[in-house]
Amino acid sequence: MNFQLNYFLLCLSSSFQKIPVSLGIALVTLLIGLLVGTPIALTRVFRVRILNPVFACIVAMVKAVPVNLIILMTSLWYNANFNAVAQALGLNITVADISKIYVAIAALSIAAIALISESVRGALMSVGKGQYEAGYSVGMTKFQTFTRIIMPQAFLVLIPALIGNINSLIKLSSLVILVGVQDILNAGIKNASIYYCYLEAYLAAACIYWALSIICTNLGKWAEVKLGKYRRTQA
Amino acid sequence: MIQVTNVHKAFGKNQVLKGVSLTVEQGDVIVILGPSGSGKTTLLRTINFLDKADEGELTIGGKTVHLKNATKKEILEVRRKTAFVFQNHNLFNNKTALENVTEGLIVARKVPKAEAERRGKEALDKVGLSERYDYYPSQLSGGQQQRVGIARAIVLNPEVIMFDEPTSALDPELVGETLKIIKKIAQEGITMIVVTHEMSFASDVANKVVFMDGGVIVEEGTPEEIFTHPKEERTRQFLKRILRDEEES
Repeated sequence: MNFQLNYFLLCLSSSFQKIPVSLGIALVTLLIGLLVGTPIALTRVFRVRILNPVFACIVAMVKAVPVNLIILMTSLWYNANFNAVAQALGLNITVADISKIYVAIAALSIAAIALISESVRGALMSVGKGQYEAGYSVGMTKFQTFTRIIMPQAFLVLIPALIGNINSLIKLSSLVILVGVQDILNAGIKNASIYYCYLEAYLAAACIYWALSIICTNLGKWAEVKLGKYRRTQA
Repeated sequence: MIQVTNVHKAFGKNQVLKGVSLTVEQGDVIVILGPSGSGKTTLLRTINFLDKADEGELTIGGKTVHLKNATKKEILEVRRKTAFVFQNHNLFNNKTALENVTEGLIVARKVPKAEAERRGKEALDKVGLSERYDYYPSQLSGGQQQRVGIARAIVLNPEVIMFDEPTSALDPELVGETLKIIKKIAQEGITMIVVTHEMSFASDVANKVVFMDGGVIVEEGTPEEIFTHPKEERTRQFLKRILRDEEES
């Protein structure tokens, strides 16, 4: 198995061109995960009746299943039912008219919501009861206490967890090939199957994932320093 | 005048308060003594609705509210007439000393920022922290944090300040300075209820001492009455034990 630089560069370039796809999927699912996962985390932290156990159960079920299975199930359901649903809604479109990337995003969002709701929950729980009580004791409402005291502190704890989540989502985005979407890894593999340069393709993809990961991690560190000026500098 | 009547509170099967009533006159400094688990802290917390009582009433500022069925609005009103100093300080970690003090004024009482800051600085000066306005809690010692906690309470100008074992979490050498400040505030005529184990503080500063045990008030009176002529056997036992411990240490 000889390493050939020209193939490596070829794979690197075609993988590189798919960064927007992988990053786009990761960021959109991250956003959906935050938007849906945060309310779920809130119902769980504040032990809202009925919703708390229901969400706890759903999150546990989603987390128990491999993400590629979620993608396969979503895609199966989508292919079987989309036409009927579209028809019922009076839309003149079929499965073939919709880009598969949306199916990929929908499927990964399910995983992202479970993942991120747990991160948000952990971050919220890291802020002690005393902080709430202090807020109440000076006459602030629950809402004021939450937005002014709890959220800023929880957010700081959330950052490293969220960076981990973004990294996971970028890596999970390589599974979208299951529904036929090309991403960083699969663009390289496509070349590999033509030129038989698997080693180069894998390495090229790995390099890009490394670079993305380093960027994410540093962004997170920067944000932590920026927002965490109240924390004692760690020796 | 503040009056609590017939407060009951249970945590699960554990009945912590079994019908406690207490009257606090304007300017009173009341010290609540008692062994651990006697319900002292819980009594303070139910007055501020940090723990919800199962039964009981509270009269403050001429208004009576039920401790169990109070509406959100009533709870907020009571909290805006009272202030609380916590055992573990509970300063807002993400706020500077000055912001800790002004937060309740600006956010809860809608005091203009400039005025809040003026009053906040005044309160911090009073507790001897003029040099520490912009320090975050993590940059302050335990004693300094507790003094910010005290400033945060006095700045609100409440009808009563409740102190929940304000010196129990402090290093021994920091206890004195904190007590000195509480004493200073007490002498300004601010009404306060203090749960503490500091006997000398109780006899120096309090005008009324309440001894609690097993979820009831066993005995109350002036420090003189409680410390030198306790009527109840339980009070005598408790004081004997505490004084012996203090001598040993």
